[in-house]
Amino acid sequence: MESKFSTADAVAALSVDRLSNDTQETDNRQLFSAFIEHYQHGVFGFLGRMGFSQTEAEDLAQEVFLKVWRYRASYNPQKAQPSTWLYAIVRNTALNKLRSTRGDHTELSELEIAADKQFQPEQQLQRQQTQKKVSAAINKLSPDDRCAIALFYLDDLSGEQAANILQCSTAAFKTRLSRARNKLKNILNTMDETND
Amino acid sequence: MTDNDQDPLDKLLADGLVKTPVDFTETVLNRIAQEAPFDYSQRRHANSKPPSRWSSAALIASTIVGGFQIISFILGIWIPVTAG
Repeated sequence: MESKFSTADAVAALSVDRLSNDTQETDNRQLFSAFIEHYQHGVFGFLGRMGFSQTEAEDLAQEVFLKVWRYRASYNPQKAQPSTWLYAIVRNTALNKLRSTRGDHTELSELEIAADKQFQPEQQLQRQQTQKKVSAAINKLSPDDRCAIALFYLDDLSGEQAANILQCSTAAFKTRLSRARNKLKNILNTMDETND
Repeated sequence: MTDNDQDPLDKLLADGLVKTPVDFTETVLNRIAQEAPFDYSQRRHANSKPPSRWSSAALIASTIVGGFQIISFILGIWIPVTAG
């Protein structure tokens, strides 16, 4: 669908509450379409770094954007930027899912890791194995550590915004992130040693 | 920092480990159309209907019954304590 609205329009739409006013149905659909286009990669990236499989990430990402649509009227631009509000919803949705499946270890099948056409078959296989290993290592981290890592790699989120989402200071976020990355590297090293 | 300088783990994490489906936006829009229609004005109007006469009467009646229950519960404790 060709949208007449730019990404900036879509993000601004939430800020100025245009989506929740009596705009025409088609306009709403096109504005929200541009909003999803703008944020979908960030949301999927976040969910992947939280250790969810492709199938789980797709279900959760749908749930996130449905929540954004349903609760858009509760968004307050004076309190937070659209991205901060969105990723707070993503984080809460992800944490709820982790709580509901506590004890269930997410096993990624080869099929669940989507093939990337930019790589040769051999490279692709190696990449899939590495992805699988990293996902397994992430699943051994605490939910808080996963959130710190997942937020850090978002392009459109500053450290201050990430700290706001985690409801801590920027310094505390940096400490948590550094600790989480060290834990992840240690887990990966241990996995390598076990395999050797 | 170029891609070549980047730590492979960092690059993998930055890429996100899962892929965004090509038709994701359309899937979400279709779900919204089914579960939470785009015509917000109609939905808001539907949600803001005043309560009917019968539901108001039921609310008042349940409040009165609830009040009596609280009073009887308090008296139930109060009477044995003072009688003893």
